[in-house]
Amino acid sequence: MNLRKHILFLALLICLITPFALYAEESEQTNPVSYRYDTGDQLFFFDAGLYRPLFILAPGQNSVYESIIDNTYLGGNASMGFEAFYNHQVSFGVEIGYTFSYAKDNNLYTAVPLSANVSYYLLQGDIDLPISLGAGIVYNSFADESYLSPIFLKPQIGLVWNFNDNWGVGLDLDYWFVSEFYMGDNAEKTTYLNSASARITLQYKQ
Amino acid sequence: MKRILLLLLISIMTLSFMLSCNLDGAGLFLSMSEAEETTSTDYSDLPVQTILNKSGNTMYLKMGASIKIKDISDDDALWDDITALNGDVNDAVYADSTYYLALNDGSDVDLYYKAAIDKDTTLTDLDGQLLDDMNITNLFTDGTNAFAVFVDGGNIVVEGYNSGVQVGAKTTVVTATDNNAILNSFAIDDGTKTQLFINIFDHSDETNVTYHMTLSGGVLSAAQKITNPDFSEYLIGGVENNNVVYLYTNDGVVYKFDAVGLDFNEINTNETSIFADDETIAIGMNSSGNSIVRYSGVPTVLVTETDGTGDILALIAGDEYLFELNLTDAEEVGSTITDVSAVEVEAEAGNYFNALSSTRITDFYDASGTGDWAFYTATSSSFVLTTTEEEAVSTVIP
Repeated sequence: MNLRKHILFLALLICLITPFALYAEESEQTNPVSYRYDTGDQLFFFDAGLYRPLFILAPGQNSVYESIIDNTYLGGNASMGFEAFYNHQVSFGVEIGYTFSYAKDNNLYTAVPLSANVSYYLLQGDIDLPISLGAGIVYNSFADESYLSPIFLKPQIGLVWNFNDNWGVGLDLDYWFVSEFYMGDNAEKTTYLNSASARITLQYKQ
Repeated sequence: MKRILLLLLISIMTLSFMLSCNLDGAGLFLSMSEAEETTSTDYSDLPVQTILNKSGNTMYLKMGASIKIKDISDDDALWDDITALNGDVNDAVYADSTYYLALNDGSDVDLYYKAAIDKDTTLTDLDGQLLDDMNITNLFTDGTNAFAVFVDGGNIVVEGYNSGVQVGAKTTVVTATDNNAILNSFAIDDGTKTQLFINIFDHSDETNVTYHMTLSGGVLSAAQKITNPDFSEYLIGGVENNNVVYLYTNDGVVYKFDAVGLDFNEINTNETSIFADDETIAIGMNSSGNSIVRYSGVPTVLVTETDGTGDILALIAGDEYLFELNLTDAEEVGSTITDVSAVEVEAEAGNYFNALSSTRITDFYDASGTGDWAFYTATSSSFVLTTTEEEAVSTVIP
């Protein structure tokens, strides 16, 4: 796959999420619903699951490095955070996590992402269907290198079953976009790591 | 409140952006994408100590406490162990078509030799035993002769061998004491004779003492303690080019060595280490379980500069980096120091040394000796790299 196809892939992801948002907005207008969340409500969540590097975009080289998927193993991710509701459907929050993935040369990639999240609840009730966008920074470490990524974007979609008034359990699917900038003569080494995670989430509503 | 949070977020991102603009480095994500599997077949997790030999397509490694053999033209072939040696291989060298193995049978380390070995080689198949009931501490070679250092009769001694036959007489280096430890030894053929350097560490006053010997005309000379210069640290290795021997210390001082007068002409000074960032290169013997790595001189290989100058470069393996020492420009005392400064060879994505970014070089094997950048590199990360040219990406022998 060339660079253009990967950019198209990212655009497709956005397109896939958009109809959910439009549908939810429309059904809200035609079918007034009762809301599980009110302004000021807070959710605390703990996520844990699997993590997988997918490919690396290198615009300066007009290249896509897909070998990362062959040269790394399935890794793991865990995070915790909270969100507070701005209104019935929109919440803001923060999240911190830890991610790891072993490379085939036995070096370990670790990342500590810190993000601010905004979420929109397409559905809520016994079943929540939130879509989120996280933005923040990531501290990366691999072999004897470490790097603080200033741009970290994480679109996410979740499906949560609220089994009582306070507790819910579900699944999150995340897409990670992490930058590594180089300046000057090394600018062509600037890359963007694209990866994904699937996580079980346990959340508590206060 | 939201504005404050927003401003805080923007400030953090701006600050982190400023902090995270790389000027150099290999590229963390690119390194991940190139992190090929290095233990795909039968490598163990142990470091490769030495590339003993490559005969045809068959490569012979000293790895951990064993010898591994493989047809490297066959990616699917496994690394075979010699499994019937009744002991750990503490050290091994290859010289003049002969393998020398220091085998630890559990009580002491004996020295054996054999002209040809394969995976079915057994202890009884070995052609002969050169030393019995001796604790061989270090084996090293000048490319033609093999030398063993061990304690015998209360002395630290050196013996030389050629094709399994002793060369010269067993020669005392120094009286062995509880405080003496053999740090490292190496030998360099200067074109007319072999120069031997044996470094002894004295625990009592924590000093290093270098002893010098020669092998010429089948005669091993008496050991001579080097007192001038008084090396501030110790010699870690050397290299010969056009019959001139260059020696370097672990803190980056280079000497041009005149064997005739035993003169050491200092080319640079402590203040101008050839090692970038004033790195100090550690050397010696590191034993952890059977993960034995011994260095007989820091790994060095000669290559020809590819920028058109044709300069001869010595690539010197540091703890973390590889250094280039331009021997063509190396002059004696009083020359411009920058002429002999080594440059740090950085690991960059896609370049020749990138695969070495997270390992340590334990040995070079340059079969051709033509300086054409076609050689093999052994690593502490249990793999061997093969290199064809300077700018080509080196590949791991599976």
